[in-house]
Amino acid sequence: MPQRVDERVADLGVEPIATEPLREPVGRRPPRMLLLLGLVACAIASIPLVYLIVRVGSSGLEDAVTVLGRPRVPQLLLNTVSLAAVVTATCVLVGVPTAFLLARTRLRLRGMWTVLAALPLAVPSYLAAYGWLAAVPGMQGFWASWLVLTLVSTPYVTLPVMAALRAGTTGLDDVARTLGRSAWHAFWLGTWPQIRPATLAGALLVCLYVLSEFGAVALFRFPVLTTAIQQAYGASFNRNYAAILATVLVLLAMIVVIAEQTARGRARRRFGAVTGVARHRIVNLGYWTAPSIALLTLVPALAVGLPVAVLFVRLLEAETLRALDPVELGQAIFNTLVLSIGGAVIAVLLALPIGALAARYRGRLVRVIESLGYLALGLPGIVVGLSLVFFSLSVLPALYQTGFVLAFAYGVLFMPKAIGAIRSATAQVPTSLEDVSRTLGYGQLQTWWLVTARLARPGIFAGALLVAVTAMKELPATLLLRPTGTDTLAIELWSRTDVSAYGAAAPYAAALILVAAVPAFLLSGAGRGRADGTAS
Amino acid sequence: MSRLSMRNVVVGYGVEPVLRGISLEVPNGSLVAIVGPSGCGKTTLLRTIAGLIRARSGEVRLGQRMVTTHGIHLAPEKRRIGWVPQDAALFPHLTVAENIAFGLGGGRRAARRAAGEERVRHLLSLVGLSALADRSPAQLSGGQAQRVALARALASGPEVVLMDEPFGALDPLLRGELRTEVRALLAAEGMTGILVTHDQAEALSIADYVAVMRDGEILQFGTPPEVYERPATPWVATFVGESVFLPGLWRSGSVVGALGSLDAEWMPGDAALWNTVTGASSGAELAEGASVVGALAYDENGVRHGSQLRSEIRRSGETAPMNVVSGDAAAGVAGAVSAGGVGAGAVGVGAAGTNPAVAPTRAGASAGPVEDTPVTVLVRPEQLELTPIVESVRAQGLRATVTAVSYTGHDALLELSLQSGTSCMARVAASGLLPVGAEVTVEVRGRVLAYPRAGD
Repeated sequence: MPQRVDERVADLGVEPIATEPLREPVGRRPPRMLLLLGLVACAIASIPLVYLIVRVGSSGLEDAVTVLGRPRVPQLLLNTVSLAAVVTATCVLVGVPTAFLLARTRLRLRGMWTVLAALPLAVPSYLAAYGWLAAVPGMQGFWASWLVLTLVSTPYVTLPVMAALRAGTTGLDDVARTLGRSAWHAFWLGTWPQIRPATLAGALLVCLYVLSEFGAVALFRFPVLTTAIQQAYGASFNRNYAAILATVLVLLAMIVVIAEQTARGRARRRFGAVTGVARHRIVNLGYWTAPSIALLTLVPALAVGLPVAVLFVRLLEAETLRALDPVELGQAIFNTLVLSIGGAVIAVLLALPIGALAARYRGRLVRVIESLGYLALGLPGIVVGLSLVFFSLSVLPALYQTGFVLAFAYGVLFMPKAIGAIRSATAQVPTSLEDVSRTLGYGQLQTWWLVTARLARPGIFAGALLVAVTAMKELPATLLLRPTGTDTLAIELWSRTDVSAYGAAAPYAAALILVAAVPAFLLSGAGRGRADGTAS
Repeated sequence: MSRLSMRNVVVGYGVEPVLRGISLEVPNGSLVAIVGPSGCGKTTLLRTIAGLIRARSGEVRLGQRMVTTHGIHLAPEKRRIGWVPQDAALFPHLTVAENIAFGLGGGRRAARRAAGEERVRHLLSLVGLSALADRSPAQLSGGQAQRVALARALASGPEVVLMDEPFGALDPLLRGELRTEVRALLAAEGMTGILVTHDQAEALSIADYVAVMRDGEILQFGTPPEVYERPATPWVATFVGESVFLPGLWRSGSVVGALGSLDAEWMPGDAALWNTVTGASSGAELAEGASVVGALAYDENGVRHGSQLRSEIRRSGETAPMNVVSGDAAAGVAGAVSAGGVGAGAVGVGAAGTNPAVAPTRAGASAGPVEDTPVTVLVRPEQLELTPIVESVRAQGLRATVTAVSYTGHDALLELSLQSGTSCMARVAASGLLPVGAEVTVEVRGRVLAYPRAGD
């Protein structure tokens, strides 16, 4: 069970902190062909960003100054930044104690609590927001957005901090206690430095998700940059305004990405050398048991339990079932599957050379390629969507309004997840197997195909599934890029929440959760298949 | 004829390369053990031969084929070598038979083809695993996995088999068993083997030749008895076995020290070439034209000319010295051999001078230092013969007291304190074990070696 959660942490882009991929010490230079493929993948993946910059640049500086000078813009910035800051802070305040309870206390059913703590990740924010709105119809504004976003993004802090606590030791605490410090002081001296990097990385990740959040804030009518971009685009008279706002958003997100990468790098440097078995004391909760259980229950109950319960109540209403068009629902499921699987294929194709390079080689160029690959972490969906609209309209009009552009957007957006999965799957294949294959007469490419790819296949497949699941739930880019008439589950759900047709949205919400649950089930199955090592 | 030949191979970048000019000649059909402490570059050396690592400079030749030379790097898949890694590295998705067939082209399919099937069956019976053909690697024990790895490496009939600490992960009993098997297998298939190990006992027991490495250089290359009995430097002596070092003074052909006056041989140490005659001229005779290999060559200014030189005897006299001219004509390094003739084909070469004219003078020096030079004397613990002192018999010779016993089963190492206060070690058969505090007389069997005192 702990491993599964750690893997999920890796899926979030927050790598388990103490692991450093095995790399060859000397003399292994990356093949030129692989470097070239990696660069090409990076170039393709950076089309949205580059085109956005080109577009804004060509519209001229004056235009940008005029747009940014509008009185509405500072308000939008303030809303965006303050929401991100407050949600991030709350997530840390809730996530770190939760992680401590899960990692370091004597807790019954610890496995179940761990799964529950990770569960909010499975619910798209707009679905949670929709559930809350259906339950409390008057909800809106800053605090409504704060509540729902905090609930769904707390696991981004909880999971990495929990991993750090599990890998850490209480040796320093013990020393501090024997030297006469109080328990709190000892924790501060001994344990906090060990989990600080993980906390920081998780917090920045939350910040990033709030910055690019669209669905929940739109439902709660809280104006931020993403919703303003969407409105400006919808009111098609001024698309430059949308492009400039998008650039501002990207700049904000990039600052966070760079901070996050730095924090992660520092964490790895600090804890790269930690080896051996983690030794730490497990705390008896005593009187604290009841409050602890309450805390552990609160987040999953409010983030998942309440929206899903409301959903099912609505689903079972007779009115809902009468209004349901099974053909339309089936069509939406089909579209969702085709588009998200297409996105997963594109993401894996782009990520393969980058993940292979990152797992096996080092050097400045490899580092640059890997960082470029993770760039999409700082690209909000709405920005990718907007930029690809512009790009397909002016560069490849034949592709405009096709499913390909949307699948491509998914591919670019979720490439970092695929890179992470491919990198760790490749790193798990011992290089000595490749050495043996080479000396037995197989070239680099043949070896990769016969040995590396063959053995990394479950991991690569899991990465693809992860991308597909995430793409199914994606909303803002889908809103901008979907071909007219092609409705996905997310779109159907969204269009119904828009007109306050809560009942009618319920079947689509349920279908979305169910369809996304199938790959999740497959993911755990794939993990088992790899573990016994005998499957062929 | 050499099956593998390396010349001045440098690997790694920066001021501290991993391999600093390795030269090595491996005769056809022999088994060479490369031994050294961890981090000395022995695995890098093996990977360089396999082509898994690119050399910065130098040459590697496999038989007649030049596989690494200036600007040329033959890919590992074209080198026709067998590779046995430390962890066996069996493909987990293939069965035992499919693993062995992998090198015969196309893994699973080749295993089914008639010729492939025959070869696989033959190899499986060679390594004694015929019953396990359809097992998955996960179901094998460590020793079985290593046998499969060996069979896989032998499958395509390579000329050279490279083994990277193949027994490292096995328990000692199995290790000894597998060692003997591997040796027999290679001999049966007529293959040349190179084995990396950090276990000096393994190297000495299994190999035809041993190369001792340290810090990216080969300090000594020779047969196991040469390396053990005439180690090139005190460091090599300690690395290959227990050693007792005592201070002494050189007295033309003998040393005087705490153990009395002992027959000694002068070992010029670092500033020397220690040669093993390879190929055609094995044996003590050094005819003109015979080729020799030196482990270390310094000129008189202390500048090193590669860690090994391939040289040939230019002029052979009835007595020492003989001229040895480096194969590297450009450097024109020449030296003189003092034909010690101890051990099969081993000769000591004095410090090589850049100027051939200097050679005879330097050669004179190699016969020994001036009288009363302080030297470090190497005595192997088994050279000390101990006799318990019995009251009734008047003891003759050096007296010592046993101060500590470390019992290993087949024998024991005793720590002794000589009357002079000097301590030393002796190896005795465990059956004749002496208790701590026992009084003994000490006698030294055979010749001891005298090295220049460190810091001189």
